[in-house]
Amino acid sequence: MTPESKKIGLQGLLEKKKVLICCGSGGVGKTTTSAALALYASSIGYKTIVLTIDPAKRLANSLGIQKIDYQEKEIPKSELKKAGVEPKAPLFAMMLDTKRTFDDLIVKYAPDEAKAEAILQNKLYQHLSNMIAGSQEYMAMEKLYEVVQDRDYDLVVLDTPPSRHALDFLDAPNKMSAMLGDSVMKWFLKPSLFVGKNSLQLLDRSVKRVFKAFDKIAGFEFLQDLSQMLVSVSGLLEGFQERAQKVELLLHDKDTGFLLVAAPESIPLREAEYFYRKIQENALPFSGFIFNRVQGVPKGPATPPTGLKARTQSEYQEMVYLFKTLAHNDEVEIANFQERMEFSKNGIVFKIMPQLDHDVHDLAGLYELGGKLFSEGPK
Amino acid sequence: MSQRWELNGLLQRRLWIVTGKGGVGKTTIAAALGMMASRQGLKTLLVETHGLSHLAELFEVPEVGYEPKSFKNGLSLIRLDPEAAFEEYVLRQIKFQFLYNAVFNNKYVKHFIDAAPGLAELLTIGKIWSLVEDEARKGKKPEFDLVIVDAPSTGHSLSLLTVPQVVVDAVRVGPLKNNAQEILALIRDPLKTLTWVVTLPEEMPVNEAVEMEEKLENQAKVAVGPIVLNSLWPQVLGKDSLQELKKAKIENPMVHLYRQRVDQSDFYREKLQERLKKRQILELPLIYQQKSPIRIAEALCEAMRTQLMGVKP
Repeated sequence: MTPESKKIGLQGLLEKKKVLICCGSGGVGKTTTSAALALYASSIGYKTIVLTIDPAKRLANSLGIQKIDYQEKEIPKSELKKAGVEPKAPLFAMMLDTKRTFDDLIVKYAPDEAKAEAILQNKLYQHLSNMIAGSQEYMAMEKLYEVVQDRDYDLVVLDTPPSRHALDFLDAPNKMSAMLGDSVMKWFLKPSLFVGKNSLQLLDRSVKRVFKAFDKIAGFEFLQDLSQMLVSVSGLLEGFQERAQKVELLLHDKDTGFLLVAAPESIPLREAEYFYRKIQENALPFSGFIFNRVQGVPKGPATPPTGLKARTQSEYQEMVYLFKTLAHNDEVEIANFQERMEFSKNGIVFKIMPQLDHDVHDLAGLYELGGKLFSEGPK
Repeated sequence: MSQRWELNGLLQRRLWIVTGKGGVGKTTIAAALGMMASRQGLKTLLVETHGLSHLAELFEVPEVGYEPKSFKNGLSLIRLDPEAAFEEYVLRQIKFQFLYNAVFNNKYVKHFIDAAPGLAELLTIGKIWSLVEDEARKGKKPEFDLVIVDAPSTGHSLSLLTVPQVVVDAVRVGPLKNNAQEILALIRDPLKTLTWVVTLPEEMPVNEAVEMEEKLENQAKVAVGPIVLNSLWPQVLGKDSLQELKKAKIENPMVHLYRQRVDQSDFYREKLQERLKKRQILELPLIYQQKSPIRIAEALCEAMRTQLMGVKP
């Protein structure tokens, strides 16, 4: 058997995996692909949930559902039936609210209620946890772990933030541990800062210099806020760290698979390349590529039908040229990509999805798309 | 009546921030805008905020780092890096390199920036501010007339533009607070800063552009410039030709798909116009005649220029 023939389809992948993480840069149809994959999996009997952490709330759009609150929510059977889907297993969706998840974490790991409250009320904490950009990756991991651990889904599909930040997301458990173990962080955890500025005298010289620098930049009061927050949080550190390690194990588990979604354009493919290498570097279980929006040449006479006006003829020719050029460009992009990456298709999904005739934003469209994703015929 | 922009008015700003959903062509539009400004004689700096150097690749020049590098008449490029920005900022405050080195070893800095929510964004927008305002504050002529930022995709762009307010609210006194206020003064001055929202004629990009426009105005409080509707399906078949094909009953899959694509483009163009009534929308066709990214950017630059020059009397 040639390696080529060993590539597998999504159906085969589902037999091996319980968690699929869809990665890729923005605008390549990642959210839609995740939703379609989840919907189709449920239709063939896998109890499935799709999680998205996208702040632009696109999954709600993709599923054609008015509102997804931040709870696991079953897509009503009636809605599915209306869309022509006969689900053999239930389908759930969930949007991750990063702020709320962070608060949940604090409550979960705080030794007692009063401690949790102290952190939640800390001014600095409130501002920081409001800043979505930095924390959404941690939160996604946290929620993913919780869903995998505490529920009985056959399949969990995770839609990730755009590529560059999905990299942060791979590093999230590591970063958390590294940060917490850092010696400089520990200086901040000295309660002496509470006493006031004079307490700086008590510190050793190098630490004093750090604080003086910070004092100059941000003001002593800010330092106090920061220290206070960190002291409150420090009781939680062990819980966090332990959790981060478990999340890392989950990401490396043989039941987990990373799917890389891409589009045949130079920038998204560069991003995909970067991402693929990152997955390899981290020795994460890679499960395959899905190329979306690939142009094909539609059937039709390549030369204009005779008997038309000269102008119509030449415009028709231009149309043929337009389609051919777009299809050719895509083909070249994917071929170059494959050449650059030098990967083997052995045991992975390598799926080329044609550019769709229309936008997919309802359940019927997602189901149709899911069918195409799972079809195993020639591309 | 929708707002109309005129090229000269746009060029009087000091800072353009190009944003939009991932995959809509922000980088290409930023490059095209850079070409447009530099051809009008402005010394223009293009700013990369992502890790990879897509703009250098587009212009077919070697990667740049944290120092602005001129690579073409009137066009320079810089790639921002939060770690370098951190060092630069701290050094400005404490003045002593040896102290910096003693306190902030590289390993620590990286962890700190990675882990502190919003810090990377704050450093990025802070550096952008200094690229625009540094010389002016010293009473000198600025090195660059216009700074164009190829910003991250929607949500992260918004963080970039809102993080200074978070700092102003969270920090009570000190240089950090003052700096954040200065950044806000720049990005919220409509005579200095404009955002360009880029989108595509598709459902989700249009929704996200509408959402972004609202948030830029009300949440970040920054001025919104022209909306760029990128990659409209090229209408190579004129009305007459379509009519004739219909009459002659020539309906093959190719013609069918062509019509579908045109209809989709039209549908979302109208939707965008309807939902962003007060904005001027620049309509740009999908450039299929060119292969190299730099030629595509040039074609888009021409298309935008024509629409912004208006009809001469």
